[in-house]
This record gives sequence, structure tokens and C-alpha cells, in this order.
Amino acid sequence: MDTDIGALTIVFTEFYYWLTVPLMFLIHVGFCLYEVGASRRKNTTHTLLKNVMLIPLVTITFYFFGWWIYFAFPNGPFIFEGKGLVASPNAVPWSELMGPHLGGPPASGSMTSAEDNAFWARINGVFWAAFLLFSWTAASIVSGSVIERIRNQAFWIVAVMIGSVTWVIDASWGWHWDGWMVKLLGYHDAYASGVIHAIAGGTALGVLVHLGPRIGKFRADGTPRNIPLQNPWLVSIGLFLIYTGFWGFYVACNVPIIDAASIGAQGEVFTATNIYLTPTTLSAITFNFLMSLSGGLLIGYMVSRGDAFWTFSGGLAGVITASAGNDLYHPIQALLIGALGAYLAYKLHNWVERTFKIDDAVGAVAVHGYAGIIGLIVSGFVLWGYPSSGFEGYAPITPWGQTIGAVIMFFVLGFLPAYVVGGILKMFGMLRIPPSVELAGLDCQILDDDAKDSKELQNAELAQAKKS
Amino acid sequence: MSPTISSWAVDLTQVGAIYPWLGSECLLYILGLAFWLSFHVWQIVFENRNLAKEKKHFSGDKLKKAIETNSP
Repeated sequence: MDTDIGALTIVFTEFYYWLTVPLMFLIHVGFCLYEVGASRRKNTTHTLLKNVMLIPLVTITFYFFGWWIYFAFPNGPFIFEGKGLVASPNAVPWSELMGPHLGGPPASGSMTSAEDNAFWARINGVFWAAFLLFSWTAASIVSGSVIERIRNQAFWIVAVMIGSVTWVIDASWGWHWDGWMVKLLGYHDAYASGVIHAIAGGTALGVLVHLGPRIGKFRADGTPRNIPLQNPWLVSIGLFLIYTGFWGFYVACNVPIIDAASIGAQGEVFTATNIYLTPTTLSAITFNFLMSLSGGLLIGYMVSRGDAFWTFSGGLAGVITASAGNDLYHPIQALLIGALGAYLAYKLHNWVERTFKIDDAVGAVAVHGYAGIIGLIVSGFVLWGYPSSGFEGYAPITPWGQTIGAVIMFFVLGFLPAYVVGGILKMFGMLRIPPSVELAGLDCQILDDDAKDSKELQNAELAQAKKS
Repeated sequence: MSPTISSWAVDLTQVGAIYPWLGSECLLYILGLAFWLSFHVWQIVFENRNLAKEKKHFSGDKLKKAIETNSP
């Protein structure tokens, strides 16, 4: 903070990221309402607690190791020039920068330098929190697909895995200005089609394969039954809150203000950039967010023949599909790409459900996973030849780089770890609720106790009425 | 143990960490990890015990009644 501009830049950046946190909190509120609305009454409390309790578990583990992974792993497992871990003194959990700090000189024996402290002291916590909210989102996406039959113990282990380990690895590889996927593949995923959505969809699918469908989901001939939503209004409000929170998600993916010289450009000018430090503007992403949402909603309505649930989910799929390139697309490109993603996500969801008997209760694998993959591949063609970075030596954006990136996100870091962990949990009997409890309802004990309490209260009231 | 900050009337450019017990971060980290892992252990035992109880309780006619009462 040695100049007025420097001081203002840091304070503005601190406030900017802080503001994204409550906005993104709305995504979690939305997911909770959405899941509760989509589950049956007999499973309400279990569904809600399952999603809410990922908040503390992912938060503390993201503090304990997730934040460090992001800064330490950009070279991959020795993929980039045989290099290993990167020193990350701001993110090591016992660093003095992982607590309240005013930016002055390091304490004796500290692992940080004076430069580290001056740069990170005021933004480390808010930057950490913005990333953490992405972690909640990734875990929460998985939560919806497995409702009404997964044990909390299993889900919370999976939540920590994706929220504080696997998605952070993918971010370090492909959502970091210095990540090996950006350097070698030209990987470009500005608003996280792959690094959040594809990996979350792949993770959900990996768990669902072992978890199996809800009892009664499929008829004897293998065709799926519709399990009616408990409360369509709650689902609608939940999805609208997710749309709202997405504004915070998008702006948190940007660096709000940086001078041209710091990003390999020329001219005495400040700009906003995406996470790769290539220039964009808040206007660009506002155009494209709204246009891709519209494309998804329009096609979602058409392809589902006016089904409200799939219309709203189509809007989400539209945004997710266009997100990889929404820093650069023309708004009409974003509209059409969003529409394509929503169409394919709907069709793929139904095909996978019928063919493989996968019961994805809220369509999360399709809306996040398939739409994310499609978005990455499409962006490879539309942005073909664009530089992935302002710095020397980075590969340009290509269809093959984006396709390999999609495979890494959905399959390598999404499906595979979840399939292995899901298999282990199943082997130890920790994955699924016993059938009789699933049939009675995951809240069966609560409902039974409530019925007894109500009866006792009623008897007490009747006794009082007799006396008076 | 002396506080990390003893006065705010100082040159703020020379003030770094302001939390108490500066230097105890590794110990705090170990305590935090232990708290996290012990939650999982406790929760697994708690949930398994409850599910076993519910499985035993909701069988036969009680299960049938629960389905009739709780299902939409």
C-alpha cells in the first residue's frame, strides 16, 4: 500500500470479494430449498440437514488443507516441466496470514516475507471465503442427486472430498493463471463450466452408480416412475435463489482491478480480468449471463413441453453451458450455446435414466455435469485460436485442449474418485439407508415422536377443556 | 502469556498479525484437525445406532402404518 492507488486497489478488492460471499450464500440457500421441495415430506429434515451440515465440514477442511492445495498444485503431479509443489506461504494453515493481519512485517520464525504480508494480509480471508463458497456449491450439487436414500456419514465424506480436495485440485490445474492445464492445453473455463459443474456432475454420477435408485423409482419393466415434488413452489424459489447467487459466483471468478503491466499487456490502464488474468468486463459477463440464462429457459420450456421443473433447470443448464466462455462470447452466441446445453442436458438425463437406471433425483448430473462438458467442448470451437493468457509460452484455446479438459474435470477428478470412495463406503455398509427406514421415511422417528407428542398435547387440552 | 498487541497507538505499517497467542498456530491446527475427525467418528456411531434402532422399530405392521401415514 505504498501509493494512494495501491491502497484503494487493495481495499476495493477486499470489499469486492467480501461482497461475493453473501451473494453466493444464496446459492446454498437455494439448493437447500430446492432439495427440500424435491424430496418427499417423510424425508424433509434429513434432506435439509444433509445439505446444511456440509457447510461447517467443507469450511473447516478447506481451511485445513483446501486453500493450500489451490496454491501448491498448479504444476500438477510433476506434469509441468517436472516441477513439484509450489511454495504458498499465504495458504499454509499455520501461516500467520491465515488469521487477522494488518500487513506489517512477519513475526520472528514466520514462513512469510514482508512482500507476502503486504500483498495478502487484507485479501487472503475474503479470497479464501470466495473460493470456499465455490466448494459449498460443488458439494451441494452432489447433495441434490442423492437425496432420500444416502446416509449422512457417506455424503459428508464425499462432500469433504469434492469440496476441499478434488475441485480444488482441478482449480489449481485449470483455474489458476499459472496452472499446467492453462499452459499446456490452453484450457479456458472462465466461469467454471468444468471446474465446478462438470466435476460435481461426475462426482454425483460416481456415487449414484453405487447408491442405486430410490425404492419404487423404476417399474418392473424398467421404465422410470415420476416421484412427485413435495412442494413445487419451494423448488421454484430455490432455483431462483440459485440464479441470484450466480451473480456473486460470476463476479467472484474475476479479478476486479489490475493494471495492464501486471497481466503482460501495455498501456497505463486498469482492467478487470478473469481468473487467468486475461481482460474482461462486468458488462461482458452481465450480457452473457442473462442471454445464456434466457437461451436455457426458452429451450428448457420447449423440450420439456412446459414442465416447470425442467424449464427452470434449463435456465441453469444454459448458464452453465455458456460459462466457460462467457467472458468473451457475443451475447447471441451465449444465447445459442445456452440453448444447446439445456436441450442436450434434458435429452441426456432421460436417456441415461432409462438406459442405465440412474436415479438422479434433481437432474444434477445432467444440468451440471453434461452441460458443463458440452460447454467446454463448444467453447473450444468458438474460441479456437484465442490466447489463454497474456503471458508468453501458453498454449492457445483449442477444441482438443478443451475436450481433454472436460475429460479431466468430469471423469478423472469427478467420476473416478467418487466411484472409488462410493465403492469403499458401500463395502463397509456406510452408503445407503436400510430399506425399511427408507420406506418408512428418513424422518420416521421424528414423525413418530411428533405424532405421539401431538396426541399427548391433544389429550392434555381435552382434559383441561373438561375442567373448565 | 503476553498479548500480541499492547497498544494501538503505533505505526500501523509495522503491525502484522493481531490475533492472540501468536506462535501457537501449529498446536491450534492439530486441535482443529482432532475436532474435525472426532466429529466424523461420533457422527458415524450416532447415525448407525439410530438407523439400527429405527430398522428394528419399523418392521411388519409398524412399517406398513408408517408408509401409509408418511408417504404422499
